[in-house]
Amino acid sequence: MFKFCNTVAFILLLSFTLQAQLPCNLVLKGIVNDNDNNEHLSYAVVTLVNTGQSIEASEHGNFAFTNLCAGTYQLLIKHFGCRDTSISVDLKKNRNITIKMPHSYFALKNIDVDVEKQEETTTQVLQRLDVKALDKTKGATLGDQLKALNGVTTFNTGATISKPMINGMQGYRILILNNGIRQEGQQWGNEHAPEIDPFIASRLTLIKGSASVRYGSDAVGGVVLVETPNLPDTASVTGELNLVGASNGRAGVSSAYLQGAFDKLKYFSWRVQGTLKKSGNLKTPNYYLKNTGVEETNFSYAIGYHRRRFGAEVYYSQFRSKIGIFSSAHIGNLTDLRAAFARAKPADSLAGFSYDIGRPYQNIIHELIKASFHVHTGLRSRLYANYAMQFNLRQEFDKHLPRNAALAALNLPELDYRITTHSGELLWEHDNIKAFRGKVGVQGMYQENVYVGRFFIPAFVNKTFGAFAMERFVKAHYEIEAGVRYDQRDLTSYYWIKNDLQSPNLLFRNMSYNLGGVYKHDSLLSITLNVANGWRAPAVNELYSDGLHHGVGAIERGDPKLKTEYCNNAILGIVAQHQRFRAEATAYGYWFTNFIYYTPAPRPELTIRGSFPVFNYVQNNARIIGSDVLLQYSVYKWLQLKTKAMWLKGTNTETNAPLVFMPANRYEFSVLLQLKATKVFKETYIEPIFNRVDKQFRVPEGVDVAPPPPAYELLGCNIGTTIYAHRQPFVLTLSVTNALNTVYRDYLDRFRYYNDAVGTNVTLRLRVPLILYDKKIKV
Amino acid sequence: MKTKITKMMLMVAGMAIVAVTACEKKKNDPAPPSSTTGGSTTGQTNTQEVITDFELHLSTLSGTNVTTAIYKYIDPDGDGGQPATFGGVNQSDSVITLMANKTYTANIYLLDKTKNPVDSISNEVEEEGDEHMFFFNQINPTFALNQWTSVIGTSGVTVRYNDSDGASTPRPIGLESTFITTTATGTNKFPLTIALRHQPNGVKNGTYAPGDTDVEAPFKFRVQ
Repeated sequence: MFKFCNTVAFILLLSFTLQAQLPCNLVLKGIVNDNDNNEHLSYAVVTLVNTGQSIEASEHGNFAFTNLCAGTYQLLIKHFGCRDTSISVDLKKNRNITIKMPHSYFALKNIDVDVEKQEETTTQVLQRLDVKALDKTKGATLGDQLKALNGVTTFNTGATISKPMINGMQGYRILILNNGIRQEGQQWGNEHAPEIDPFIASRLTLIKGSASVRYGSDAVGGVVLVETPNLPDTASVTGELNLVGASNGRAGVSSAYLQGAFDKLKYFSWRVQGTLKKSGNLKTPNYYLKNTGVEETNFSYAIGYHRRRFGAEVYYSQFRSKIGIFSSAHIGNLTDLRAAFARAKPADSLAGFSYDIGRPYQNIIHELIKASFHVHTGLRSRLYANYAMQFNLRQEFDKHLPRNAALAALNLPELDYRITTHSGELLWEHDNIKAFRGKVGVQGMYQENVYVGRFFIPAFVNKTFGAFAMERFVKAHYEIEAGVRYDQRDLTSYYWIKNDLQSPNLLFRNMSYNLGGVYKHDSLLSITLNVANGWRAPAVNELYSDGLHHGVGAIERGDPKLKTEYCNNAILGIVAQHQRFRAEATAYGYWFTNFIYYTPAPRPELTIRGSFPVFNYVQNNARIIGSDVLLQYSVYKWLQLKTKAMWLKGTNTETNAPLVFMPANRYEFSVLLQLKATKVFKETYIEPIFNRVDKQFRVPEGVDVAPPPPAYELLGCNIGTTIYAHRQPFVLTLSVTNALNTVYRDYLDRFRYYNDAVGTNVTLRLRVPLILYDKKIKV
Repeated sequence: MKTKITKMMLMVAGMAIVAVTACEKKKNDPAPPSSTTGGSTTGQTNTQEVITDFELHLSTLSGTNVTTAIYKYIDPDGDGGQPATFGGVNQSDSVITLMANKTYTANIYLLDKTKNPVDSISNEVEEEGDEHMFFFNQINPTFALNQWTSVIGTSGVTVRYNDSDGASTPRPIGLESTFITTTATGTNKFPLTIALRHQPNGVKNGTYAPGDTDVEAPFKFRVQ
């Protein structure tokens, strides 16, 4: 995605100095040709590295930069199927140059790794976290890493379990693509975090707004792409070592990967990766939180086989985690809950530090096996075929063992769900047939969920099928995209009423559409507008859940009569850049018919354990509107100021009451100070960050058991540098969060009922990129 | 050359085997575990321990005969599912009727009727007495004259604990107690919420606050 400047471009932008004393009216014109046959290459992207300015060549390969000052310019030319080419141009007067792009991919090499991972090019608003941005948050949960993106918040269950929220939506309404595969776990629980090792990602991409046509009709909130690095295409062995230590929780994480391609065994490439994580009791400013440790062991590997016209890859990943749940926050009846609010400190706050994880805890395993294959069906088109199998185990252990000694000896989880998902995709993609780029595809999924132990949601078999087509009309200054999709979902659930097995079958089918456009005035201004609709069949917990949800301390009741939820979405994105100033803004609106959410019943329900609040799944028409803004100003080339803001408002349009559990407005202000590179220390920066989260005053009356907590302000700082020992870089990052040890609670943290959020945390990270062997470079 | 390729092939094959063997054994039957005979609507399995019945047996001498009234608070599927209901020999609401100026022997029984035979959880509570204690209206009993007593508000009723957990600093459990009434309260009803607190790992200290609630039965009473 070249049109949206990424962080690298920001940094390049910083190195741009105005040369005001020289005439600035020069024109640099050019044409992009194929080196082999001198054919003009259409729609190459030409970037003026010095200024970050980027334009797209015309259908006939022409491009022009105007109003340039005299000087030496670095040009970066990218064209699909060609190697990125960089040339230097000395500009004293107007010039006309010819750029010869080396080889189309067929001639380039016998290997076509370059196209293995197609860039997700759409007319939608994209945001990225690349390696450098990820350096600042490594070791955190996936949800917390994503928070660095404007518009992303999290729904937390303490500090160790966080579910990403995009534009106020979470769970079923957002999709997470783990290495291209739709993550299928037990998404229904608020305390069920995505089962993904964040260290597999070399990049995290967020697609804002409804992406239902491409990814499935239910992806109305947005999509998170967790992208792994490309397998290498030259004989080499490279890798990376990551070490993270954090003061709060005395956490240690080590993660490493090695990848390579064989010298003798052409066409094969491989990668192995693994992560170990251990952390202990977290500390709020005033007390330790008992039993909040986390243990994780994850690994993955990939084997690739790439020939000229086709490629195949097998990927396997396993995620295992054991997460302690703060014992004072585990299920309590209303009497206990009210006592917890009244307490200044939670009952178990006397505990000290420990790595021990006792009951209550969660034990989670997620496995993914993916086999993918692609073949070039022509010079400009490819066919992809994917199959993936996922297995997800979720076990939740209650706070206390059964009193019965024989049962206690078994130490069984009280909740035990196993979900197995098979999914397949067939996708055909073409680029630049005239000015059209597009894709068509079919997707299918078969999913089985079984449980042993306590009932909460039924066992089920879920079958889905979808087919879609989308085309993009691409011109130098504008793009138009349209897509259409058909989905069907067949859900059979199994549960008992008395001694009769119930097996209701529900079939949902519908269409979804999207229409989008981009207007670009070179790279200084781009305006994106996307409108889409989507629909979502009620999920199994929304239909049939019935029981005490121990993780939440509430009785949840589904409604088997729920109807399909429909959503219309419009999202407008603007990126503007003027000299040292850059602005990115999105404004969005979601209009729901039959929005499914859960709402408390008028009175709590009596059980033998006491009374518990009851939440019923209901549906209403609803609206979510909001905006995210980022402003950035480079005072000097070493000093950059940045402001981010996020506003959001969710409304039940039938009653005009606010929607419950929507993120509060928030603001961030940061200063990036870049220090001069020395022989040893390069890319050194200091980045103090100030965050403010408002009080969520838009809450429905009498719904929540406790009022929303007050606004809070946090101070933090990132310090980073790269040390070069000989040619080996060592990337060091030191991050401080909640530097002033502020006592606060967040509205979207379920544990706010019981305890303060965590206090100061100092994290030190070391990343060591490794080149153990490269045929091209003598090490 | 050939041996290298063989080696690589072995490696690839090895990885494939890891992929296959690493998969967890799973149960491929989408039908849930079968429902139990306890009338559960939710298919509880036998590995789960639930408390379904709370029984308060109040015995007193009327004349020369001992009469016993049983008050129940029943939740056939445990917490969650169907709401709990009151019941018993003498009435179907939550009101316990006591006579003025009498002494009642109170026994509490906890049952798990989803098990066959019925599991008496109160026996296990007694065994783990140092981790459990019953409270009446969350009142922390006072210790005087070697007895633990709670005075129930302005009703004139006193509850005296009659059992002990046998710990080094002995404290009562509350499975056995004595209710002592004074004057009649007329038509006034007083709440009597009987809660079993689970207070493991040495936190039991004779007060309500530590631990969690295992049972909470919200009765009312009247003294005639």
